[in-house]
Amino acid sequence: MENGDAQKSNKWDIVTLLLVTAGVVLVLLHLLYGLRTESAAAVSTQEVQNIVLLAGSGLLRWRDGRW
Amino acid sequence: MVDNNTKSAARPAAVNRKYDGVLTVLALLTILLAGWIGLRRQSKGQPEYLQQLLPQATRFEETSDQRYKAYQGFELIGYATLGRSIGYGGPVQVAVAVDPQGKILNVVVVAEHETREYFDLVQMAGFMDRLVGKSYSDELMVGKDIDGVTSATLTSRAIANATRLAARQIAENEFGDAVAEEQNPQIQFGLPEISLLALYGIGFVGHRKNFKYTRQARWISMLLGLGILGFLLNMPLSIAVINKFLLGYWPQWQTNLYWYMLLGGVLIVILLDSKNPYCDWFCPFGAAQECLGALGKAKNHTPTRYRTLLTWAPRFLAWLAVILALIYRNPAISSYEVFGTLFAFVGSGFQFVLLSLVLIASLFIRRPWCRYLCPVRPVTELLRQIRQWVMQLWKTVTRKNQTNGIS
Repeated sequence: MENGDAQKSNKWDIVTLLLVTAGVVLVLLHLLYGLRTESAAAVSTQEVQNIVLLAGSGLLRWRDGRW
Repeated sequence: MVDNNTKSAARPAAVNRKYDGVLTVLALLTILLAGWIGLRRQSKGQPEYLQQLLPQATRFEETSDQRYKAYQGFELIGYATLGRSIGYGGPVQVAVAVDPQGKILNVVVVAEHETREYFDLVQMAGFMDRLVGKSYSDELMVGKDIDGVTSATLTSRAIANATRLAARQIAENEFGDAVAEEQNPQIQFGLPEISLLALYGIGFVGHRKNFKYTRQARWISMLLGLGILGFLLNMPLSIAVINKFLLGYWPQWQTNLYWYMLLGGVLIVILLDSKNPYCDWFCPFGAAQECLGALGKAKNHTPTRYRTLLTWAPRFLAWLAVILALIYRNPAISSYEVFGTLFAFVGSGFQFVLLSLVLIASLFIRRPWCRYLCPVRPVTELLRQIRQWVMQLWKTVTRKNQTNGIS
């Protein structure tokens, strides 16, 4: 009886996990679709570079105790 | 032996709690960083809209900052400027052309952050054409002299308000006719606000210790939420609303009292009592799932094996939704909830598939959306966590002060 319950519980664990995974994938696809239509506002490579450089130099300054 | 077992069982929970704290702090820091990035990349608009606004014009002359005179040859055919108001997803900016007699010639939306499907509804309904031919002295109020677009009232109201402001700005500066703009518009207090007050009231009574009919009160609250806030008004609390306030796009309180009451009420109850008054009591989508759950005799089904993964799924989605909104400074860009898909049949193809999946799952699993995908609950959990930290800090400081005082 206990074995049967455990099997049933395992089955529901997997069903729930699959449903949530499908849900998350659909949400991400919807977000990607939304971002594509916002292409005019997309972050440019230059902006990403600037942000990475700024964050990197900040980290180096922090490591060297130069704040 | 018993002790060892207890220790080994307690250790992972403690480790999880530690990681929870670290991840929460990381989430807060990245949210702040995203806000800063969003502010850095804000750019000024270019007057590319002028030709679209008055295609017959051959020349535009800037009379002052973002105000133009349009000519066809040597003949003055109109004036153009920008107006701005707050819509559902943030600021809506429109370019308005007015003829020399003060009649609106054309309205073009230059920038908006509305949910794509709702904005499409406004465009398809030809809402901008309803404003053409009106005078700057007209009220241009949705529900009074302009018909709004069903399911997109906030967007249509924002476009009408921005058009009125722009047209009156032209009238004041070009015709020397200042039409007094109502500084404090009339407070709109109707069905949404009354319903919300009633729902808070039911929640308050239902939470009282000696109250015997809590279960019944909760069902009444849920059904009212489903009927009124859901199907009738389509005004549930969404991540777009939270993002809008987070980005500082605060709409006029007099005409948006409902949203201030909803968000403010939830915030106050969480901060005072550490309870979430919305999700379990009157969230219309939660109620829809629970009704289906009652039909299918749904159970909790909390998977023990994947608990951490499933707990963090909605938190990750909520974090992503906030981060994207802050970076793009667009509250609606990351709105993925399927509330409008159910209550107004508006949404992307993915949202319709997602809605079907959630509704079917609701028959077997209790509130699957709320537990595994909704971004609103993680935000309320974050607020409760911050409250807990502040309370702990407060207690520590008070205790230290008392100890110092005694010694």
